[in-house]
Amino acid sequence: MEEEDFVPGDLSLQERQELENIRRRKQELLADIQRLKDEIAEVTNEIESLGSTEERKNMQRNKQVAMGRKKFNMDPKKGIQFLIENDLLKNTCEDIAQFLYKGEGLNKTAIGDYLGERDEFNIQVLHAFVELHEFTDLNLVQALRQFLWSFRLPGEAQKIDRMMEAFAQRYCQCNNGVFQSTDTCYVLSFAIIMLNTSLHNPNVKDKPTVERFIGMNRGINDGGDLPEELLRNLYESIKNEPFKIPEDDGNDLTHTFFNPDREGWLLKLAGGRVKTWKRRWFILTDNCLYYFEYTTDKEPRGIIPLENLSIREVEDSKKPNCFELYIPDNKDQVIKACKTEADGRVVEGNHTVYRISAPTPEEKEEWIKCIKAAISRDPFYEMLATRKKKVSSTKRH
Amino acid sequence: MTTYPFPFFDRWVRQLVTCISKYKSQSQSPMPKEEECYSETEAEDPDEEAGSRSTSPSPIGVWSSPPGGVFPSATTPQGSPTVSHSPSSASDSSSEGALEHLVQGLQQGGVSFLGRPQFLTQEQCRRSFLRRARDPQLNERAHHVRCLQSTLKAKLQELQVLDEVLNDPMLTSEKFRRWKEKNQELYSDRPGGWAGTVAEGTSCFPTLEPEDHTAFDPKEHLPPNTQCPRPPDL
Repeated sequence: MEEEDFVPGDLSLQERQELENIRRRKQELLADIQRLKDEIAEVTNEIESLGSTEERKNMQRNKQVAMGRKKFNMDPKKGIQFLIENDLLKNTCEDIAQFLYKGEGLNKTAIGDYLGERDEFNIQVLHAFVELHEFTDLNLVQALRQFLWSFRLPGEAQKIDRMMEAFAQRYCQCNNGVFQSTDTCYVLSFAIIMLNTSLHNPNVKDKPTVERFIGMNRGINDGGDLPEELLRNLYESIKNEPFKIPEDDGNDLTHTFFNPDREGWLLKLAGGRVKTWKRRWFILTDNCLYYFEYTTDKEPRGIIPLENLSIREVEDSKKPNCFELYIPDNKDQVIKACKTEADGRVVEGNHTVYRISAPTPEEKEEWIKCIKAAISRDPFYEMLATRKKKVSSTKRH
Repeated sequence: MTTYPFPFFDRWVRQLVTCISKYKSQSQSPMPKEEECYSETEAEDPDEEAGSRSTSPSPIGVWSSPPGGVFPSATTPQGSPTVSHSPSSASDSSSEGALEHLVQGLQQGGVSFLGRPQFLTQEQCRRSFLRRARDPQLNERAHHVRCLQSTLKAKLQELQVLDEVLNDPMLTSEKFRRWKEKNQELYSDRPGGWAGTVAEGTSCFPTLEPEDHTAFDPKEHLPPNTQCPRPPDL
């Protein structure tokens, strides 16, 4: 035992021995931690240098630009930082917006991710980016075609909302008088996007007619209707030519690497005849909760898709800091692990409720917060309905 | 009415009927009793129940998707109003209805408003997790990094817990005991446990009884590499 190790006074000999074991354990941990950090750095380097012809250019500057683009495509924030640090990009929102708008060598998913971030600076970049789009004298569909091709729209509702709001503002700015308000433009834009999916996606059975499209947009011009001819033209344009939208071709590096919303040990009540609590490593990512027996397991032991689930705190007689995942409305409904097959068959789900215990109240709070955020990843229908109501009722007395 | 041999069929019949009749109740569901709350993803046995279930032939083949769709109408989980619930005047209701219809069509198709496939099933989520990149080398590395980072995180957390007692200048026997108790719950369930092979329920933290000679030894039992038979992940 070293001199500087503090030995508290009232511990028994046994307890002091235990404390000693704990100290030893800490040393092991510190060594493990260092080893892990080193290994992570090593593998990350390996990944970054996975070859491509760009890197074989001779000039240092080109090499750096290429490296910067590659970094951007894996993690946009880091890529931009790298380029700024190497004097290849100015740290202003106009400059960065230009860089993104030009998009040379940049992955559109990464661009979308960056533009969608909640940071004040990113929002400014988003606005600068949108300003670079020239929508004057384009109809809404044409403007959308241009906009939606310049980056890949992320999946999160809040991000979509920000970006489409910026779009709507810019469109109205460029085409004064077409719409009574930005909200009108916003709502109609979504209607058009959904129309596009409905008409052209093979999974959607019900194809809306032009009459239905016109009908669903009644009153969105601040209580009034938009000219039928306008709506007809938009409909025909989409019908004849679907949107070209950047898609993930499987070689997207941006979401290759895991960047979980949260991870950690939790206790989960596991079922069967006898219920026991099992300790599992949980990872919250991609709107889904995965859990593992060991942190080193490559494959999850279990999966809880979060769509349509609710979460609530509960008291448990055996474990503290508990919360539950459940389906609201009907407690007999099964938690979704179901889908409709192509021929209409429904494949089953099989759980009622997931009960989970966190180590501390703080962790419980954090988990609940993160899971809630993940669950509400797609309430944009709700947002859309709110806006629609707003424009439809504006001129009401 | 025909009865089907599988116990969960009745639930499914009810669910489909519910959806067909556009069940939209907003009532608070009563808190389920503790006994009813458990997930079945993990069986007691090594065999993954969920896994075996997903490979068994679906007995629900007879059912075709009802016109109303099997999914409840667009609703946020917190029970806030859905598209269909927004109070609207008569002239609005048809356009609201048409919009909702559009939305439902997308949901039935299992796609987002942009046409991207939604992860509806465990299987889809699993695939999305396992296949991060088309290039298998890259995929392997992505998973490797993930394992390393999760493990690093776990160790840092463990370090924090240990420091609670190691860095406490005012540590008393009482505090120590409580710390052990609190963390025993965490760690005794861990595969392997603190003191090596510890069965659940037995104390791996020695009590203060004089006759107890086992000292607390937090040697981490590392996950076995090849010895432990892993349940096949389907």
